[in-house]
Amino acid sequence: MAGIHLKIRISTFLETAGEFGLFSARVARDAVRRPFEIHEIGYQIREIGSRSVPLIIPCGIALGIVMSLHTRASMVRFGASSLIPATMTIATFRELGPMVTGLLVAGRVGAGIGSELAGMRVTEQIDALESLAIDSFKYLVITRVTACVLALPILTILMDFSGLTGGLFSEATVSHISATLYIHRGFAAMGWSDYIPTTLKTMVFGFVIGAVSCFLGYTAKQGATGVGHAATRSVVLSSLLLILVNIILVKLTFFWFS
Amino acid sequence: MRHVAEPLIQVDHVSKSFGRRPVLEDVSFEVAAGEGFCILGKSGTGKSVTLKLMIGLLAADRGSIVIDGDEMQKLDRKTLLETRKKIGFMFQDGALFDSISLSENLAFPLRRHTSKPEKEIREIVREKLAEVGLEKDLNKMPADLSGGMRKRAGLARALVLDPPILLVDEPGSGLDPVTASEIHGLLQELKERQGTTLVAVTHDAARVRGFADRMGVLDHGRMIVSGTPEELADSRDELVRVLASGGEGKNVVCKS
Repeated sequence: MAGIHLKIRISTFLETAGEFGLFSARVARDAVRRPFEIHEIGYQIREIGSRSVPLIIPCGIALGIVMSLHTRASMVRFGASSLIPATMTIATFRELGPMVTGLLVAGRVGAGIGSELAGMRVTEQIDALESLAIDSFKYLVITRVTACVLALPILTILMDFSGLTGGLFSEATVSHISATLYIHRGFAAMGWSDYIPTTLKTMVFGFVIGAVSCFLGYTAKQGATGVGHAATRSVVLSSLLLILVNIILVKLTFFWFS
Repeated sequence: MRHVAEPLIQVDHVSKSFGRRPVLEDVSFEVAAGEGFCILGKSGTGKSVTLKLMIGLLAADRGSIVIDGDEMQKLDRKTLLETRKKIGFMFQDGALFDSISLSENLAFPLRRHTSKPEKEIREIVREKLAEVGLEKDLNKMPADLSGGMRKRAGLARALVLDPPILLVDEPGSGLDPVTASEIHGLLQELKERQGTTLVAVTHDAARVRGFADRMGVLDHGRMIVSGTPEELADSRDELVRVLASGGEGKNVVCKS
């Protein structure tokens, strides 16, 4: 009996993974085909991007303060407190900023997109769009995924600088370092390869968040329960995939920008 | 089955299953331009599925559906969307876009598919809402409307592009008799005044007689009979008689 259940689970998993693969391929294909729904993409960037700013900035500042406190506690032991700004900058730009931004957006936006599209599916609003001769996939899915892809790097840059501001605030309070010296020390060890690839990889994060949550919402079933499931699964799956995809992207970044 | 000259809609030997569950089996019917055709049947017999197949929201497993010369199953995505402009679809619960106001729901397809100036779009929206008695509710959100109002708004939206064909899913279900009667009256007026071809699915035949020139009965996914309302009312099959009379008269003993 347990064997049959396992078989069914594996079969369902493979089926869903295959469907998601086809869905993602359709997103990639339709994203470069007319019409581009520029107006709706702009609206979605405002919804996904602008509305995430109040979440990103305080989180970035808090993260910077906490990171700085931890880094100081370790560095002081080795008499390397002058390296705190550089350590903070590298850690924030290379990994913390992109990853934390991705996870925060997956939580806020992933659940929103998943439940919104699932709600539209179960109340026949997606069918209504189609019946009005509007390509629902282009109008609902492509616009949201594109908005996520474009908004993530911008939000990441905001997160990076908020983190540095938090770090500066913490350091200035503890060691009375000047802002000029902190910034000088922080960016002295940084090269373009520390900014560009790590920020651009968040476009992949945006695609993952957008595609996963749109897939779960757009293909939702089972009425109100389906809406709840789509919202929860959007957050869980996009966060999980984000972490896994990040491993590959970090490896690729080291390979190309060693 | 009576043959209709120059059919605008041809549903030919259509079958549809969901997984292993067959919903429609070998269903065929034709509807002429300007005609009103009503599909009757108990709940869960595939009536709504038939409408969704006709507009291409679902794909048939077998058979063909031809709307105004276009075989829906064979159209590419772009042509399918173009063909849908000829068809209005009134959903059972209205299916209004709940994030925008009532007027925006109607203006949306006009802005997408026409190059009319904003002033003209607003006039058309007001006119269409006035036709369904909702001109005072222009700025209301769908959540603020009653079931009947949502249905009427759904009808107004389905008609906003003046499609020659209108598909209607359960026009009177879940409504009080007065509101249901109003909606059926609107459909009758539409057919008589504009010559719109109507296909409606319902289990309330008594109310659709005003616009139904012919009726077909779906039972267990099969179209068991079609004809004029009078022909169906005289049928020897008790289920057909009861459905065609709108459930008036004696109760039916369920055999299946």
